[in-house]
Amino acid sequence: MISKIKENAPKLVCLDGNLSVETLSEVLQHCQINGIPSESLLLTPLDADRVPAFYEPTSDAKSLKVLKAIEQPRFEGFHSQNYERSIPILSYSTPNLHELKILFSHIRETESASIFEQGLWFDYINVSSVDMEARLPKWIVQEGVAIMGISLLSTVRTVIIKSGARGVLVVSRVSGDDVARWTKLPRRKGLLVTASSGGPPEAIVLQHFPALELLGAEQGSVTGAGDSLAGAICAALVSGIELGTPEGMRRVVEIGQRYVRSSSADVSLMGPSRAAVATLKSSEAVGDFSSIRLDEL
Amino acid sequence: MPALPSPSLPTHNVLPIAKFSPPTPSPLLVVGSLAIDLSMNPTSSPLSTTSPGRVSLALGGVANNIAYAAFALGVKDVMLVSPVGADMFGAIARKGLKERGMRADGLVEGQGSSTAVCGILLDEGGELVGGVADMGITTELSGHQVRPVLVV
Repeated sequence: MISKIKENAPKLVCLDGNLSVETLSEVLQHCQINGIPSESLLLTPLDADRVPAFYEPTSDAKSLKVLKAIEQPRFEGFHSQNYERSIPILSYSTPNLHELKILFSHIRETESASIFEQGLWFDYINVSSVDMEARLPKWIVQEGVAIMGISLLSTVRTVIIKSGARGVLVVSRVSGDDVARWTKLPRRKGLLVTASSGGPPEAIVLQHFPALELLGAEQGSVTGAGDSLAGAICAALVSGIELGTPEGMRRVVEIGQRYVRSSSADVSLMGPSRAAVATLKSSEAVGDFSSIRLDEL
Repeated sequence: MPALPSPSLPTHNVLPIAKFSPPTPSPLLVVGSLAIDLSMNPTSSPLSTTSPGRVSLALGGVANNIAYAAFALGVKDVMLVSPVGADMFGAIARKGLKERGMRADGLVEGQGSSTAVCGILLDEGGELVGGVADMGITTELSGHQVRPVLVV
């Protein structure tokens, strides 16, 4: 029965923020429980037997809907059942800096919601701020982007932060055999891998991908460019590229960035229905979260 | 950090087991908004009365944009799961997907609401004058309506 379900299941379900909270919640529930044999959850590999869910936050106002969906009573108890493994409900999300800030603020303010707590794995990982400053571009640390991304890992396994002309920052939790593939990489600028000091193998990967040339400053402002990036990433993922490996992550982001560049003529024509949403975006600065410390999260 | 829950194996009485599969399997489901974008570009002003110009239609909406990008990159059987009304715009949406070569069997036809449409009027320089967004149908899509597509 389980194999039959897996055979018919999509490899990825992508949701946009125009859906209602209730509908998002219901579809996410389906993604979680698909094929999980109830008696052996702790024995199956992390993320196996689930349909990975991808959320495009859509706009500042709509980005929060997915967190509200996860707060619904149907997920009550889900987190504590999974506390040791702490399986994030979303596998991927693609916020821009504004949306990231809104998601982060909500998670921070909703202290009572255990659903947004990092699991036990997080206690074994200490991402050093000295390393962050040494290895990642200044803005990622100074504007608190890294910290905000890490705080989302309780809910999203891989956060792909769209930063327009400043490129893409991927914040991801990798587990199991993938951890060694990351930790053996030579140290270099743009990449920070922090592995767990105990417990099962886990690591937090922060990797910055500069924007492709020719996109320039207009990339972030082109209506619909974010949708194209999300769609291209979805395509890369269902083609079988494993984002959890170093080579896979590089390829997924590259496919996304190259598609956005090649389709920028199309994208600029992307129509008024998207522009109507985009006007809801606030133009205020993303803000300074540099004073926030990891151990507070 | 809350106290650790008891170490016993979890019982799954919280979430019922359910099947999750579209009628014909698709590797990628994109669930969300599909809208008809209607643009009016006049060639002369003033706009106080009707002006000659171009009126064009295109498919828009976030889920549509995402699904189209995935389709363009080779996911030929990507399924867009979006609500449409039982109206002419819904028929146009269906036709538009088929003309691209995309499957349209993920569209969910609602009872009362009209297909999402965003119409805008530009001036002859291409600047936005105003518009109307009739986009309510996507939030009206219920899990109940999505389920027939997701679950056989």
